[in-house]
Amino acid sequence: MTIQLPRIDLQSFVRLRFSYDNEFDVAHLHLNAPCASVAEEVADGWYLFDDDSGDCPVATSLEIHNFLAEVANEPYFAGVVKPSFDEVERFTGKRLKDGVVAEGSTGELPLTARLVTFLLGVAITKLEAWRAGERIPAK
Amino acid sequence: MFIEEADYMGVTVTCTEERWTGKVEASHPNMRGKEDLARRAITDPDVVMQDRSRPSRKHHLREEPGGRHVMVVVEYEYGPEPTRGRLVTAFMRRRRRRGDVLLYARGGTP
Repeated sequence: MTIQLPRIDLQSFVRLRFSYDNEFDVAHLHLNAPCASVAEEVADGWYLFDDDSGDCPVATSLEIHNFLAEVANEPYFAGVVKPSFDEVERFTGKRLKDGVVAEGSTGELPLTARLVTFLLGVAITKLEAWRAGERIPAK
Repeated sequence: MFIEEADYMGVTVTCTEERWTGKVEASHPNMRGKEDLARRAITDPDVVMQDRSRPSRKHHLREEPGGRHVMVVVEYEYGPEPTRGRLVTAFMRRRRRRGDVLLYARGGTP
């Protein structure tokens, strides 16, 4: 059975949860509330979770290790994540580098909602590239 | 300590209850009440793999019924041998990636 790439269900995306674990530099971004999910490592330290619903899974969350060290401070991502970080810090009243958990509606956290959608799209693209690579026989 | 187990090298790996409930269970609801799965993955993993970014971090995997794997990520302190490990996260994973650096395999074969 070929498992399709996880799809992002934007119509049901009404809430989100963004957490940053400063002790180990791990970020977790959830579409809606956390739910039972299974992960695929789509790139080094990027874990894309889906609802494990047979061959048409729905993306549920993304866990990124070495988040500040390797992702958020990378020039390609820095401009994308900064507005969301500012929003999360305003929303929680805490500094990101001290560890935060932000839970709210997509209306309360609009920039972070966009970030979640963007990073999930990046992760699905990484998964697609990885699967394509798996199909190419090594020389 | 909520989790305190010797890993495949005999190094003690710990996790506080606050971390387990506040980080692991909060982010991964299907790990609720499944701390014993994490303990087994630490003490008797199928394989242990090197984290691709951090030399101090290792991934302990153990297959559970249903074909899914429990993965426990452990951060080790060294001096120069590993002296203790702390659980970073734990969740269910579908499969391994090609090119993982294998540090341990039960029975000697991955």
